[in-house]
Amino acid sequence: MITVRRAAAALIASALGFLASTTPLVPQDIVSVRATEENKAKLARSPLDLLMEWDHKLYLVLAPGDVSRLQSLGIPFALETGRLAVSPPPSAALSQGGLNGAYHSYAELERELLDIARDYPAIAKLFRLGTTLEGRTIYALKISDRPELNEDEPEVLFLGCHHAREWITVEVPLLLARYLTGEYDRDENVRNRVDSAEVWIVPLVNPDGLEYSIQTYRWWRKNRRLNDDGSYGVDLNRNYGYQWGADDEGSSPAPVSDVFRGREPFSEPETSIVRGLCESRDFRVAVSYHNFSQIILYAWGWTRRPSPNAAEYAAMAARMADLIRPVNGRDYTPEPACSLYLTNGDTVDYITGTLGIPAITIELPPLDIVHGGFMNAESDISSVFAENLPAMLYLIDDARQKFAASGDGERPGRPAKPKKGKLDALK
Amino acid sequence: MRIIRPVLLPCLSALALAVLPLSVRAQLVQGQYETEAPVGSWNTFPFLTAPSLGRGETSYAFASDSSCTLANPALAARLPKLTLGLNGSLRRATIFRFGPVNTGVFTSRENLTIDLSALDWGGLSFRFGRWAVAFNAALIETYDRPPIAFDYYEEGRLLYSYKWNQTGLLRTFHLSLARELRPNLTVGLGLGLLSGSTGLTSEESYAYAGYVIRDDRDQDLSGFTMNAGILWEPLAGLRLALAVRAPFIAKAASESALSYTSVSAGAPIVIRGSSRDKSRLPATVGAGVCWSALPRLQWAVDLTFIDWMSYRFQYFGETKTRAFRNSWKLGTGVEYEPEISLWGAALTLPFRAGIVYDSQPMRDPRSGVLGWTVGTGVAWNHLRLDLGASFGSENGSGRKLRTTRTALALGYRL
Repeated sequence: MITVRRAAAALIASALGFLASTTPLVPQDIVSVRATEENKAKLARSPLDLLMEWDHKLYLVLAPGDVSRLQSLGIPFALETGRLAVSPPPSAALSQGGLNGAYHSYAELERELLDIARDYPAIAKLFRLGTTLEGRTIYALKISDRPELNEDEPEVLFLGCHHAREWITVEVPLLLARYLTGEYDRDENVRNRVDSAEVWIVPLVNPDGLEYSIQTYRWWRKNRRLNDDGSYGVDLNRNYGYQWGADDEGSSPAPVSDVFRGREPFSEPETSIVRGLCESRDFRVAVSYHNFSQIILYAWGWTRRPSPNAAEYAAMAARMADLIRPVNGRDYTPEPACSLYLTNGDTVDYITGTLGIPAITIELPPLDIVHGGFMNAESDISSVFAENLPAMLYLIDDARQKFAASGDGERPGRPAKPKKGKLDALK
Repeated sequence: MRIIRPVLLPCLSALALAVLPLSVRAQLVQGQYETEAPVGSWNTFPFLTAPSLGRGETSYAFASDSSCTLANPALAARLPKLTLGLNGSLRRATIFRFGPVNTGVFTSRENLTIDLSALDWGGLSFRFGRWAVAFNAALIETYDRPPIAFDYYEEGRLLYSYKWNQTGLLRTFHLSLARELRPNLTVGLGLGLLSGSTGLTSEESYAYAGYVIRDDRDQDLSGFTMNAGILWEPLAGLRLALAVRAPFIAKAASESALSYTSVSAGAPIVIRGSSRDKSRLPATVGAGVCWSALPRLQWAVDLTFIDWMSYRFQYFGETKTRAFRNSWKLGTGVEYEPEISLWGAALTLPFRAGIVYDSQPMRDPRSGVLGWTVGTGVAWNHLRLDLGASFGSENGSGRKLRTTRTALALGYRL
């Protein structure tokens, strides 16, 4: 039975906003669906929480797990949280409370990853991949049933924050980790995914740079290498070894440049660490998050010639864009990485060119520099994750389907599967 | 990921004024001038007025004015019956690596200089019987940095600007109580109330694109200190002193606002931070000797040990790593006070000189400041005017940083 609460949407939304800020592990959103008789009938039979009916729309309050329930009903919806929720009152503590607000610093991310691994030991295991120049650890969280084992399951990789100033690219893969672990016991679809795949999440590839961006200079991009000329930083997304330094248009040999490629391929511990992870696993697909621009990029970036599997990658990117659009109405444009400008030594080309698997760069919102550029409002974090979640789940499902179809590790026309090695797991 | 070309690249290139070959030491962590580093030296205890400054920065066993009780409260019992005093200082320090300067955003051709001036001490003391009380207000630390203002023009049009400024200070309001236990033994206890503030503002304006990023941070500082001391005169003309300042918690009420404002985008994006920070400042132990070798000639030595390994710094809710080692400071100086007669008036003209070595707590770079000091003054009747100066040169960071302080003290003694 549908009940309509006679409460101001703003009041409830503000309460939700307050709750969201004090209970960061349980994001809540408000969505709207068209108030058709068909939708009303479907919702009446569901446990979804109806807030109100207004202006020919039904507004629902979604708890974690409700997104998939709503999707299973086949009802298109639009996210309304950003429009309805007011800012939490100043006295309400932000999730983390420091200079970076609700965004995670290195220390905060480390704590949260340890908490996830501690709280969900049956399906989450934290690995210490290596140490950066300033002594910070790059972590990987593996989410799978029996994570201590290397099972014969498709492996999927999600990477965040190659570029220091792109704070939201830490949050989106981290929220995926929270979603998969938090929903495992409540959502059969999530349980199936986690049981039949190995999801690897590295939310923070560049912790040194992130800390400098938080503490000193917000628009910092590179890592914190002290270069020979006294400048700082190497662009990690130009330091990978595939077609490294192919030309000076796609990267720069000048240390002072924001796209400085480094002294040699994999000169930086961060890229070397990601390479080590990729070589020790058998990933089927990889995603690297960046912002901004709302585009979905695939190989190649180093040349305008299409990659051998460009059609497959284009279809994959287009499908992801189609899944993202209905959530908040935001368009992400799928295109080859070279479409805007050439890039060499980047993650996507390395993974595709070396491992022979699809690798995607997703440039998260906003659309352009004048609408925030590398800076997203804290209230955007959950909505950006919510719209990317269907695409993330699609990639996991796609990897599972192809794995099941092709058999144990067969990847026609691609390099031989590397052997699985040992990683340093946190005890 | 989108690179903002082509205008910004020339901007970024222009930011690099020049780059000198640096020392081979790869300093990946700032070290010398972290956000909370006081100007000149990490070792700001004890506070020194002009007489102590000129005398090799010695104060544990030498009572010149009531400021000596900031170092050793027991000295209050060795001051004249009543003292009043004021001190002002000019401080100059060179600095190379701080904030966005020489850490990746801006580079400089040479060390940068910061000049500070302040009336930095006022105090009074009085003795009654075998007791003595002293009260001091002192500016014990400043956190200012050279401000940055950078504008980039193209064809007469301002395309980009960057402004950065950090200021801050810490005061103590200190009360000492001393008692003469025996004619050659005094003890004392001091309590200090800390009060201060810091402010940091950066504003980066991309005028060509129509947006501004601004970062404002403010902190209100507070805390309590406790120190104690003992002064023993085993022989006539020889004083031995021991002083301790206990470790203490420095609190900061911190607020921040990071904002992005665009002319065309409407409402700004603002990220606010707020925290109640607590930092643990180290214990300090000092020992001093003062010896009257000849009439009117005194020689003093001070040794200070600071337990920097116990230092814990919290900034906006996070404990920051400071790879510090314990450090020490050794100062020695002489004071000669001849009397002269000028126009029938008896004047005392002190002359002071000394050297001091002040090791800094950073492990990398491992550095210290070696300084020499001078001082003079004039005393007539109950009035005193003292001038002191300390000239320090840092070694170890590869930048040869300098720190200079000149102080002028006016005192009244009864």
